[in-house]
Amino acid sequence: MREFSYERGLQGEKSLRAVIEFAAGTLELRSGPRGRLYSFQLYYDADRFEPVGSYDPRGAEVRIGVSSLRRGGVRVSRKDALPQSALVELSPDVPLSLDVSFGASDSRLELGRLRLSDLSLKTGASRTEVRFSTPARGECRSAFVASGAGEVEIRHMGNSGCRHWRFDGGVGAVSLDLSGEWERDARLVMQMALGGTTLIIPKASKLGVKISLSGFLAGFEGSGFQKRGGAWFSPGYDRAERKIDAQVTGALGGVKVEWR
Amino acid sequence: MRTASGAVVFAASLMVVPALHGAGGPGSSPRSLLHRILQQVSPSREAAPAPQAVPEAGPGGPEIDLSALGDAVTLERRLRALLRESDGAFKLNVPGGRARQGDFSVGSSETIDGHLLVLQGQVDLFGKVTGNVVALDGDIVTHRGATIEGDALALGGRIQDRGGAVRGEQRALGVTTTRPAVARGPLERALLGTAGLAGVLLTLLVLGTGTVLFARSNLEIVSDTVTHSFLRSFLAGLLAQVLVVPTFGMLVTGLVLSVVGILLVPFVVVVMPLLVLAALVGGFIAVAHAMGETHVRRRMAAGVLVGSPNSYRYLLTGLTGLGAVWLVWMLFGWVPVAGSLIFAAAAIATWLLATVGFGACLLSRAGVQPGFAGRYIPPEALTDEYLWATPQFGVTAVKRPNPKELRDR
Repeated sequence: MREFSYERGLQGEKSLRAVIEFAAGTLELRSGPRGRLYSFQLYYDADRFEPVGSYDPRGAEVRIGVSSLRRGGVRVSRKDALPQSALVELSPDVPLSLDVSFGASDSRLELGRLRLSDLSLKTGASRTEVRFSTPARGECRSAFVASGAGEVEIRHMGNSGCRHWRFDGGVGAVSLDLSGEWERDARLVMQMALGGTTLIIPKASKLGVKISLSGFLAGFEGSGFQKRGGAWFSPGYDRAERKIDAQVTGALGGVKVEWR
Repeated sequence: MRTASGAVVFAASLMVVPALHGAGGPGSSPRSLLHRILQQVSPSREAAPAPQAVPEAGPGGPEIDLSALGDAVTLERRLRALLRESDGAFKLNVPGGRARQGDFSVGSSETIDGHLLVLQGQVDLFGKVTGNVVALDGDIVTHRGATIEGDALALGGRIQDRGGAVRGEQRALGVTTTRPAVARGPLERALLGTAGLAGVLLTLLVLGTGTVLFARSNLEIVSDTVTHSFLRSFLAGLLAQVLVVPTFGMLVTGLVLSVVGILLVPFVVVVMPLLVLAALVGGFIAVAHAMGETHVRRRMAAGVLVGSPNSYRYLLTGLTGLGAVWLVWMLFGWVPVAGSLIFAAAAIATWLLATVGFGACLLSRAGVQPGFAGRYIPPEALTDEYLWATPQFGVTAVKRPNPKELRDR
């Protein structure tokens, strides 16, 4: 095993595009200290992987992560044979375009405090938790999440500030927590294959949710929702201050609503 | 022992060195010779060089470009290779920079123009470096007032920020840490392997006992199929191994295309592999049963008194025989060449028997169809019920003799 660290100070950059590719292990991503553009701490299996770290000042794009060597693969013989871990810290001072790809990893992304302009998250056989514990400070245009065989959980989506969310699901489950401070209406477009979707809606919220379902066997379990003209509406949708329009297309995966 | 042998070598070198001093050639100087001797005495000890400038190698000599530090792993590999090949007198070209060996410091009023490479030493910066700074097997320490205008890269070390500034990027590739390999002797490996084998056999025994308990007739039919249709079972099992994956694919595709069948796809995806696994394991248990039964019956035919010749005994005997094949490998697998041959023989034998069992399971429909089990006598004939059945024809009923007839006789 080997340790790799890579960082750069903030030197007047106006924005940052961070491309993170993490093949296997555990990854934690969060906002970093002021004055630092990015920081990457990696503990990796030097026999099978190599660190990735490069910065293009012309496009203010940083590429970090770990990629597999020719003898790549995952040691599955012993549980403690793959203790790869990484910590990524990104600057909260500049608008951030975040592009993250995971292979087989267990990842936690705390995107609160970041000035997120757009988000792209692609997971393979991973378990990914994305949190917006505090309201994001940027104006997020769009967020795209593609999950393969992994689970994706997004908490406090209202704090993200993203107006458009798009989900491409495979066989993994997706859980979306719609709590948070929604500054504007939002649209969710979800294309699910076999995996199901769980929408967690806070009980005491002024949020109206409309769910439009299409797909061969996509089912819907939503207590309290009323069907009107082919779509399902949450109680008090017409009077809601903020409205979420969710369009779900699924083959076998359905939508389940939980009130918390 | 190592210390004593090292001392002997060192003492011998003290006698040899003066004689070799006059032999000429740059590689045979006392210093380089002593360097080589010390490396042989303590091969794991890193020779810390005295601080010195690395002379330039001249045109065509080894060169390291420090202008781009993006690929730290490759740069480290190149540097270490150059150090290994240097054989004492290390020379290097660093375009736009300089190289040093050993610890190096830059004073607060000093400015180093260009790049700086420090090998096998720590870099203490109090002044300014206008290019990139690279350290191999040492830390880069930026003290208060220090400035690196370019990037900093520590290979096999760290970057310590003590108030200095790095305008560019900071990279550090730490020392490789590996868990010490646990060297196991043949005896320990054999014991571990035997324990593993015992675990597998015990598991099969438990499964087999359950099968005997709840599905004895099915097991016996499969076992008899193995015994009486060995070659047919092998061919069936071989064909099944080839066709199982395409069949599964076709089944899923057919269900999807039928549209209505999509509902069954999750069921098929889960159940079919389980059924295949059950057929494999069940067939293997049946093979063990057949082997055990054959062995026990032959012993009984030879006159040996065998207590309770039942399916449990057959199973235990058969599994013991199968385990013996692998036990030989556990005990002698460490022997070069022979170990590999023993492993190959055990693997082939196990595969062969598993294939036969799989085929027998399929032929007998998991012990439901006795068609290939060699049972030529109908089941009802195997009971003694026929002794009690009243004949319907062919036999005249016996009448009680008439006393008058008896008197006439």
